[in-house]
Amino acid sequence: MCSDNKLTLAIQMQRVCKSYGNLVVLKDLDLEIQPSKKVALIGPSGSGKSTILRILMTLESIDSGRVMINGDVLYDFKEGEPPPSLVEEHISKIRSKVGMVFQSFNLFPHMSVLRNITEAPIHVLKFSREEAEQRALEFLDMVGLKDKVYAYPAQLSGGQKQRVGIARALAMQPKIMLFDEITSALDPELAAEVLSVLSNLARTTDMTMLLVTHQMRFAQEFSDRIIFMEHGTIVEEGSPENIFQQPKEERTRTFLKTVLEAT
Amino acid sequence: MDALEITIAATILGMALAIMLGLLWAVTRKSNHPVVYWLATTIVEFFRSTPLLVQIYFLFYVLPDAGFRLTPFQTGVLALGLHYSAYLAEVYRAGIYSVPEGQWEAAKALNLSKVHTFKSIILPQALPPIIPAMGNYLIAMFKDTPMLSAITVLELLQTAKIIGAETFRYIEPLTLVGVLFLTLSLISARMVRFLEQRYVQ
Repeated sequence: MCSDNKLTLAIQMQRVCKSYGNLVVLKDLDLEIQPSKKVALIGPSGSGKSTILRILMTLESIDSGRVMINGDVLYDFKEGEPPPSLVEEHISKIRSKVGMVFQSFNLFPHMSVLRNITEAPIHVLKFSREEAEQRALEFLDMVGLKDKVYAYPAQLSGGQKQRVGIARALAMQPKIMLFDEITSALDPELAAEVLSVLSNLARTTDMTMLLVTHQMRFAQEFSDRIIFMEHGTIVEEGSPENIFQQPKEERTRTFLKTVLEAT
Repeated sequence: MDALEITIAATILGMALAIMLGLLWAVTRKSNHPVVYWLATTIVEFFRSTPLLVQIYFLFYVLPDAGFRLTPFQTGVLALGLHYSAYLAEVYRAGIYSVPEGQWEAAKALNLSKVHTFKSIILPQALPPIIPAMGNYLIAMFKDTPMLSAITVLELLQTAKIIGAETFRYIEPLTLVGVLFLTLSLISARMVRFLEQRYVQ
């Protein structure tokens, strides 16, 4: 492999194709993300942003191409060949390096906040209950919800739910965190509290963070790099300054003009 | 009074069996393995598409030939359990489908195993909404217990018939049977409603 590149890439996708029936979602997509970078994916709905996150989280497979996470091959399919049966153990090992926060929170409604956060560390990482609860409290403190330890998801506001979602994902110690439109279901005010947690996190951690968002200002502040996608391909990418101040592509300009006018 | 005990015991044991087997069919029907799926589907369709009475007779006369020696009561419980497990499998399935896909995805993202996900995440959410349906099947099974009289189980109806044959008085014992069934069914219905209020939000 590239000998001049000493760092193992956090995420590498090569010629990835993915379609649902006749609908092509990703078209020969190439994407490389360096470790500990904060990257925002922007673009119109249906451009394939969320699909990228779902593939990296192993919630979706791909039709062809190659996906590597931290240097380990997750998928490597040639076009026309049926995907080889994947060894669950192997996928599970890769999955353990990735965490995801969902648009619809997906908290476990029958479990307290504490148990939402400790369930996987206890059963997957084999932490003792005391240790897992101790750590859960630290993460809850970090997202400003220490007083909600024993609450149930139904008793929380949307913003609080999403902050628990972040704490829950962090408790699994992922190297890569994926955020899938995590404020889209929230009022602006509640979105703001979630985004402030996210900015703090981005500043203080060396995790690789990949964020799909429609909030351009936040993307601008948060990320080292912005990727603009349309119709399943990357149209343009660059630093926030480049993309927002002097986009090269006409399509990027049109998109930014539309969304920035709308807000 | 023995007859009442037998009727209730047959219902409770039959329901316990149906609850366990029904879950087994529901889980195996979710399997990706084609043989397992096909087998579970065939079993469920078979028990749902043939009459309970036929199944009772079948088990009663065929099991001993196959080397299984069961008492008539045990055979009856087995028949009730198998028959109703097929219906409960569908009830479980509805409950499992009512849990949003996002719950499976969140569990997967946390790397929880499939078994753990099912046991600790999905099932606790799938059960409360199906409690009323399960309760209805419990009552239905209770009312089906007189069929066991066909294989000489001395449950309520059979006992009433015997008393009638001995005393030439059918009205009193049969009325009593009707009243007992009515009373117990109403009590069960109230209990189901109580559980419903408690677990279904």
